[in-house]
Amino acid sequence: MATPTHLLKLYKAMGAHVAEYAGWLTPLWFEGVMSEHLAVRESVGLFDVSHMGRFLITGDDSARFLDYVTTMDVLNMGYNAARYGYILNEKGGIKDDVIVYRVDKSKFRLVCNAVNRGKIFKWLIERAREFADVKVEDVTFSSVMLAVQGPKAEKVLQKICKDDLSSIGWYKHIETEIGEQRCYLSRTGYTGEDGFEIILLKTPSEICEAGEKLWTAIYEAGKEFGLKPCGLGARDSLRIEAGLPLYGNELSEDITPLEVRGYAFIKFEKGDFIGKKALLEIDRKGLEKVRIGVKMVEQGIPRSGFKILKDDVEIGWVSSGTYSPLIRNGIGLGFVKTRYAVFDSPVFVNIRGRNVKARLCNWPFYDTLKYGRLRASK
Amino acid sequence: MSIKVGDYEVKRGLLYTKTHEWAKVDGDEVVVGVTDYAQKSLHEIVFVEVPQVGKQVKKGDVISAIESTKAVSEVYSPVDGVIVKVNEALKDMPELVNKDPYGDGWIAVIKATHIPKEELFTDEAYAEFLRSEVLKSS
Repeated sequence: MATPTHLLKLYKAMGAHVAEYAGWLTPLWFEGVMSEHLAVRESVGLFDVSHMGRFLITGDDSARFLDYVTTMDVLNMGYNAARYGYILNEKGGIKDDVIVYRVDKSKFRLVCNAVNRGKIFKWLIERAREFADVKVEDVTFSSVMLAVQGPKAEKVLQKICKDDLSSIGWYKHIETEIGEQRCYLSRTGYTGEDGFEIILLKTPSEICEAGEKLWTAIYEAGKEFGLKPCGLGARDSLRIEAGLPLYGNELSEDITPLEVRGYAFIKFEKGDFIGKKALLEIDRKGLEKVRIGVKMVEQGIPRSGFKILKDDVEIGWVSSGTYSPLIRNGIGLGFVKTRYAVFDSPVFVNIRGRNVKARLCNWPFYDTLKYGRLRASK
Repeated sequence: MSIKVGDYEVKRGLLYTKTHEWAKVDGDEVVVGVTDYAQKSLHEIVFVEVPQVGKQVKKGDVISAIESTKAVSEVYSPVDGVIVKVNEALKDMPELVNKDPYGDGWIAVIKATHIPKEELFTDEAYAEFLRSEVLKSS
């Protein structure tokens, strides 16, 4: 049985199209993927991402522990910093990609993927035994997580938040009040746009009502900016356009962060961490495959599992694909043998038995002067 | 001119399949498309793979693929025959399937060698199928 997301009643009343994802019943779309996607690129969208796993990690050894189980430099994190990185297995394969938020010397929050919540909780508990004082607590079911994404996200939230949001940099977080409720707010996201993610932590009996109140406060504040409630459909097409990997598609226990091109999120200079030895060995030997973007030249939509060919030689596969509502073209992410990973090189994607022309490319797929977090004007 | 089943329309006078195609029979020429239920389930259609004229098909063969932002759905031939005409407009305007599934959103015309009427639903039977099987389980 799938778990209904805490605010499901509200969404159903709005006519949202609900689907099961990673054991959760959550909106796939409200109005439609296309308009929700474009709202985020052009103004602002509101997502419920409560299906993500949320853990509290506390104790005198929690910083050392997280430094050891992730690829990021946790020991040198400031108290209002958030970082993105990987939890690896001993072979350097990706168990999950996570965001760690440091609250103080011995208190952290960690957000992981919905599909991996159980696995990661178990892994963290097991590895924590090697440390004297670490406590891991799963607070997923007593909290709600919302994402406000798009160039107008700051303007929307500023209306209902007393703290100055312009002073919160990318991957920084604060504890604040939004719509008169205490929340954790971070400048993070999964769309390529500027935006915020908000965690509201309550007791399981309070969370539905408090979550609805938070959602409604943001929704009302966003109306004048054309805010649209968004579902998982737009979340997926937005992250593909931005080139952001998804666990189960681009990331797995058999894929290393090196192949994903996630070098920036591995801190080799720090002390030992799980998977470090294996990664260094793989890096020394060279990679067999590497992640690329693929853009269709002829009509068609690349989908997960489709083969990528150079002339008639199979060189890789598509791991995620969609129709890009912004550039109105089939786009995808995938892996190819390293020696073929050349941007702009012509390839074919085999779509239902037919070789369709495409080109390898880098991400993001949008014009970064006009769209995305670093766009020229807001 | 149609039967309402929940939010879905079933056009009268057409034959239907379990896989939500419709067939409009005019002598041995059969116009094929997908039903209102099919287009609403797919939601925003962004690409229609138009079939090849001249292709020989049997009932149940894949003649087209319709893609929405999230999913792909195959279209199966309701009859045996040869594809003699395809809706070229869908190449640039796939949304026609959403806007007018029983009209401008037609997919192909098949010159039929065999129309297995006993395997196809009448309008009333398809409406009942939607009501009692499809919508009940969703």
